[in-house]
Amino acid sequence: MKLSMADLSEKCFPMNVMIGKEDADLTARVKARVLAEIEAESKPEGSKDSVAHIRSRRFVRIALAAALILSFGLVAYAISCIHAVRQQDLRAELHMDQHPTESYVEYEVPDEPAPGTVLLSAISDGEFQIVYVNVSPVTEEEVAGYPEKPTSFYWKIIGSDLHGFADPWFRPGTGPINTPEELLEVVRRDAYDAQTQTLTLCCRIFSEPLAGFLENRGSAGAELELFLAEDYIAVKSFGRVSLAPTEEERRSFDFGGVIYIAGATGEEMELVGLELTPISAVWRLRFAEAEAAFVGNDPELQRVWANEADRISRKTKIVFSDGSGFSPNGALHLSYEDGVVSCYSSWLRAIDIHDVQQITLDDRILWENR
Amino acid sequence: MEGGIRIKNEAKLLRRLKDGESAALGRIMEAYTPYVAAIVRNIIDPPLHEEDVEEVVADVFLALWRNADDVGDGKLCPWLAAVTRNRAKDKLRALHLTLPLEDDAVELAVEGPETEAVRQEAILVTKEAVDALGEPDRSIFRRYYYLYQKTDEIAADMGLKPSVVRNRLSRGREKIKKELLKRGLCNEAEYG
Repeated sequence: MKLSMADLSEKCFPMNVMIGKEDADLTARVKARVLAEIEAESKPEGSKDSVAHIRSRRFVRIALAAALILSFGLVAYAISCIHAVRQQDLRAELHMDQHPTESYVEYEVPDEPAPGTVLLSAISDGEFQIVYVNVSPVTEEEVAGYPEKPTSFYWKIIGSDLHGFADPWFRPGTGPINTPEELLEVVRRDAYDAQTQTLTLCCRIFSEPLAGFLENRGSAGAELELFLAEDYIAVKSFGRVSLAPTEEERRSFDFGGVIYIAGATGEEMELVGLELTPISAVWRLRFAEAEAAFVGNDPELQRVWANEADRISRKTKIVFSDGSGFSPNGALHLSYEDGVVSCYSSWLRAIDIHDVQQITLDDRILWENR
Repeated sequence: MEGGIRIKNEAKLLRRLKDGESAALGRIMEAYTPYVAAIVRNIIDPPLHEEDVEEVVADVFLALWRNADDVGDGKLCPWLAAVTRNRAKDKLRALHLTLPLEDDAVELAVEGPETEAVRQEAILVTKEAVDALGEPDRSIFRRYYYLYQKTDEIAADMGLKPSVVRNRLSRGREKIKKELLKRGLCNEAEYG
């Protein structure tokens, strides 16, 4: 009998040696996998697992088999339906039928029922790649844990530092949500399907870092993984899907440096221009205190000018050829580069950016289609 | 990376694990997944698929969950390493692959029913011989033959030249074979 030196060394454990590099992705996957297995093991008899066990022993009578096949068929139909239903909901709420845009993509949803992540649709607003997914299985207890945040959902781009919370989707126009109970009610109404244990989530991925990551890898697409976390620690992975950023459709309006007097400070502000995508706007502004506020990192100045930018965003009116008008939401965030402050706001019902006829601010015409 | 224990309060965590707290297992997985994965990758080299590595690593922690009572205080790391070695080799076998039998393989001096007893004795003699090696030979030997680290990695971790690591390994092997031969545990043809 031949033994290798490694076999002979099976009691030569190196006590003070620790090898291996940190790998957050692998650790999260292993944890999710092991904890899910443990949870499955702890299920009482009569659960789905024990049925599967009996089936494997081929003790299932024909009548039971028929019932199982029927129930599986119904589940398959329901899951297929929930994917299609959510796609239709998203398309309708985004107004994609009225204002189709190249920046919106709808994915083919699978017919086969399978736990995991299903890509539904995605849209780019320039600042973010907004991705809608269905994940399953999500239990009712897990959904109930979401509003108070012991339970959360998050996304990660594999191989990168890009990650963030994935929030359950709800219909635009839903009124203010003031309590965890109200939030849970909205989630159950719009995002959760109890029959198939499917939850619809929205992932907002910063476009620029994603593009940089893909460029560095020389790849057109990335792997997106969805997780369920308890107390911010991943306990379940819903698996990965391949994601390629969608096209970006944008229209820029140049105001030629119109001077505007800021209401709060009485100081001059230069309105450089406005960039519109179907679901977002970015105001380009220039003012004397911009560098002091953002490069000097003066929080009080930032607050004053953020309020002003917010007011400008909400007071802007975009007029279309049918005479209807639209005002963007308030400013969501500001950034500074080369003397220009960018003020971003977004909404979730598309507008036709090619049909813009006029842009006004406080009834002052900034741009007009001639 | 030097240091035997990755986590504080390991004894406390082990007690919680034995009480059936899955959160304790979660903490242990956070600490030891890189270590376990590194051993798996060293054995399944080159890695067949990342999924295979992940499967073996998960299997090791499931084994820990199911056999937590077998793990003595202060023995978590050796227990994980031993189980990982076995599970990784099992995986290779399941894939109809085997680790190559090195040139330094030893032919035991017995065949038949006593083989297992001789094998166990040879393992103990090897341990004694390795323990008797001076440093850095002892650490090099253990890293190479227990953790399956490559000579280049050992050299990098220990701040030595790869040629030094190879020479020290060769010297250690000779000493161990000599000891096995002296005890009549291996055939002479295998020595020298």
